[in-house]
Amino acid sequence: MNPPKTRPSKAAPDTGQPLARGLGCPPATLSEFDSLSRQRQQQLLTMVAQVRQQQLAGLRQALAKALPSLLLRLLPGELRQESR
Amino acid sequence: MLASQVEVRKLAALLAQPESTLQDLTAYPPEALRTLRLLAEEQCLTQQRPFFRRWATLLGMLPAPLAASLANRMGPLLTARAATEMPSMRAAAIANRLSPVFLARVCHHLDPQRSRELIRQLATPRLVDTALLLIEQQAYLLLGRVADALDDAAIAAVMAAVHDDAHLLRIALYMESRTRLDHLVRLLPRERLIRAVLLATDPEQDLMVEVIALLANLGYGLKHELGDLAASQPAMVLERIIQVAESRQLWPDLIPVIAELSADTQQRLLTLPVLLQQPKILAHIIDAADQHELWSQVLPLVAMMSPQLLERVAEQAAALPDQALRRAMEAALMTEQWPALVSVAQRLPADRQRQVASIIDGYGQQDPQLRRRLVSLASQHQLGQLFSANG
Repeated sequence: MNPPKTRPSKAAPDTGQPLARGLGCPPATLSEFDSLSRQRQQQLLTMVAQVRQQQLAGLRQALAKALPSLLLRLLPGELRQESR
Repeated sequence: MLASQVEVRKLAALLAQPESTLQDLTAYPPEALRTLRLLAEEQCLTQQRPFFRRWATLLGMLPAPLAASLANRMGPLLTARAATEMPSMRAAAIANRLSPVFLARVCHHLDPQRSRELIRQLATPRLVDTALLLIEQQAYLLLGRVADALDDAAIAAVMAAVHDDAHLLRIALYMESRTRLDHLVRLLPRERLIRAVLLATDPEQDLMVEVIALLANLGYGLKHELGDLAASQPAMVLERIIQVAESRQLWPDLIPVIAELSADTQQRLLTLPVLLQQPKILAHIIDAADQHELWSQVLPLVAMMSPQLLERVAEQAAALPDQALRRAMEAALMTEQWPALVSVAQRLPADRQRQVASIIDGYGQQDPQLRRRLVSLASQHQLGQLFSANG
């Protein structure tokens, strides 16, 4: 872990709060991050969006891989034999 | 602060980013970072929930052996998502039929917040085997979150099965609940706990941060005993503790630990040459005291310092902003640490001495008796000339 950075001053908060909006919570919930620039908040949201996309792709891939075998497993024994 | 650094590490893991890309966030309080992480986790781990609810309902209707067999075919990702949506008892009945190897793979995809009850209901032997596999994979972050959900018996069983104390320290670093951590530490046999803390002093192991984090989160009694134990090591080891705290800026975590040590140990720490040789260390300690409201814990240490070290402290204090000086004096006021403060004031440049005197005069308007007492103390330190006779 590296030493912590100095926190940006709250003197001139950026009022956009894209982070709270993007994560679907009231602005007060993430008000500590008001001092993060709009651009940085957007960057963080982009990272979350990327993970969401990766998760979704992973789910699709896992489903595509598992479904044939699952359906086969759910078939009654005789039908399972025939389908092989 | 270490807790913020740990939170950033967890966020980086969730977002699959190198920790260095989120370093700027370590300046934020750990509670705020935790909220951010949980919200991000919610976004990432709850996609396609209605689908998985239906899937979970279907699995829930099948006999547990068949559901377990299907889970194996579904793979760890789909199983984790379906398990999170199931009633925990049902999910545990299925999980208890899965191999520890598969369960360990499922754990990597579990939503730890929503899976607490499921984890609690796993059979202890299965849990222990799964935990050992995760330790082999060095999945300490994940294990820290799992440990939060476990009851005492399960934790005790895992701790008994893990022979290397370094693993326990690495897991403890990532536990979410500090009160739970203090409780769990008390479940460890005393000799084992001592051995674990002494690992910090082993140069072969890189566990200083973990041990400092552990000590910082313990209650008074254990902090005192274990802190003293770690600090009773040779001076070289103490210097290493100071250097690690400095390089990772762990002063907000370490100051409260030092404050609980015995006077003898505190004295040993204060005589370490490194404090005189590297003035930046004192500057950072003073900074941390001000930013994290730790003046009341630092002032008693100042009272024990040698004249040489006091000179260095005064050099740093001279550069403090006015408000920081006021906060230090407020702490002296609340904790009756005036001798420490006056011994530093004695070494300050004249303009800062006048500022100290003016703040004391301000107190005098509310409490003339206090002013008289402080003027008398100041006079004993050759600072009497700063005050007018009638205040």
